[in-house]
Amino acid sequence: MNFLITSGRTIAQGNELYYKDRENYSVETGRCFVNPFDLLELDAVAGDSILLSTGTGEEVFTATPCEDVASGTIFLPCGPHANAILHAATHGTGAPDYKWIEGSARRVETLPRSGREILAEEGGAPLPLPEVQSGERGGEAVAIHGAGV
Amino acid sequence: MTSVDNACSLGAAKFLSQSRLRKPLVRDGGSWSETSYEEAIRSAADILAEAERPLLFGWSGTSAEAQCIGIHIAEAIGGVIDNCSSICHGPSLLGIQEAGHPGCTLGTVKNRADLVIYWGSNPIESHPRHLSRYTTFVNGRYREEGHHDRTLVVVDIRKTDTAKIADEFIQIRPGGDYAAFAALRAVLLGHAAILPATVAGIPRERLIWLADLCRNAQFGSLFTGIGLTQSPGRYKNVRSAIQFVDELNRCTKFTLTPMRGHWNVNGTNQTFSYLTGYPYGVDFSRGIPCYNPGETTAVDVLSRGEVDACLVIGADPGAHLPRRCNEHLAKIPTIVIDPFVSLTSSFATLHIPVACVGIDCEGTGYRMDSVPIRLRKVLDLGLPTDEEVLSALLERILERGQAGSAVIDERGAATTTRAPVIM
Repeated sequence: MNFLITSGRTIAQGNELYYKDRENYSVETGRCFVNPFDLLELDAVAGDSILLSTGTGEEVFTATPCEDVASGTIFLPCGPHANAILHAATHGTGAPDYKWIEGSARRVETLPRSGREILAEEGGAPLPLPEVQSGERGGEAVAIHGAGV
Repeated sequence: MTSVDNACSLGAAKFLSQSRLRKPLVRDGGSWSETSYEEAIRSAADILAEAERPLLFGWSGTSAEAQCIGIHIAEAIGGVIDNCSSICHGPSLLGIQEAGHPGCTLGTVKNRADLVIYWGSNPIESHPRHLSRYTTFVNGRYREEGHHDRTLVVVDIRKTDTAKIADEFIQIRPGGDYAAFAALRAVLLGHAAILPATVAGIPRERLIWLADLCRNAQFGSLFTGIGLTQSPGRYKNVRSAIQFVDELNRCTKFTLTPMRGHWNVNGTNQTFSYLTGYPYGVDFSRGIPCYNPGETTAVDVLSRGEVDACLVIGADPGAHLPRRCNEHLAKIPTIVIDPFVSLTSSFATLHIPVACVGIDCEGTGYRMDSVPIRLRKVLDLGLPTDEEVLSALLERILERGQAGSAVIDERGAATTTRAPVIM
């Protein structure tokens, strides 16, 4: 199926901005938000792998049903997964087409890659992970008061 | 640090991050090893000074003071310096250069606005405190009942979380922004009858209703997101929005504010404009600042493969630039100056960790309404600041340049805009 692919921020992706070396960041940037009817057409359900293909490349995402997304469009969180299928043309403005990528989608069995794996394919060599102190983010000792949106 | 009070979820996550490095790392092939700051800065200076077409990219996540030093480095090495606005609200700036900026401070919005419109922006997720501090849910001097005194309208291609709490949501077809603003202007100018039944998927009656709502507002504020700047039309969308606001200002008060992203991306436009005359994408290779978006902007110089060395600071192109740019970054010497491990670290030849502005060092940032804010230091991790690292880098580069000039003078060679490298 052909789709208009658009990308943008999500709060879950934003919360992981300073944890890009961690698994959760890749989980959030590896999602694709699809209208439930389109997901039905793709013969997929929540959590299935969806391969998005564009003229630039292809990448596997995790299907996330979302009624807010209009049929015929797919929404991606900002990040390495979305950028892996984004071309670099800026039409003389400096800004790529983050909101306007034409591509196709189909269900596959392959699991999404991590951000680090994508960057390794692009030529990167991930840094060794900093040692995480016990009780840090998400641990018992952490209390984020007034952190609601 | 175990807890954070009074921050939004994005801010709390930044304070609590454990993805901080404490010592510079240098890459040798596929392995990394620690090095000293002195050695890292010397190496970074050598890489940048020896490059033919260096790019200095990012700057939105660091202080205005550091940005100014960065511009001096770019001038000293004849490089291209660009900031994150080139990939987000750069087109907004192009629109503003064409049509002007009918802006105001967020305090004015808080105190006066009875109509708030978010167009192509989803602040609930991107700017979590925007509505509660400045626009919708806050009580103002002339809006004492807060959101009861205001109308919130969202225009977007999808029903975002912000759209769900809006008084009115208008769903627009992707890429239809220019046409919608043009139609709204037509309504204001008395030409509603010529509109087709729908424009960009919006029924004509809905557009007439929105135009009337804006015209009848006492003080309206339009906030434009990257939904306008990264879709077809780009800066023309923003120009059309400004022209709509200009028309409204013939009969009421109305303002437009781009929803800037990084905490100091607006600061980059302030400092770049002040020191070079241009807000982003500045090329010093000819000895004078040149600006041509699409040519001198980061995505373009990287995707064309022009750049032979890159300094990344206060941004993460590894996470936010198209793959073709990242593939080029992986091929060239890339220096990352960042408090956190970023995806760009994967492409780095050198990663120099620094203090984080607003956490472990001070600095000035510009809010999206261009009000400068002084950020305070709340703890000390003993790391050097961006300013200190960049100052040392500039000093080293200038020393090399002076040494190079002396050699030229002795030999009586022709002058050059680029200082030769003395090993």
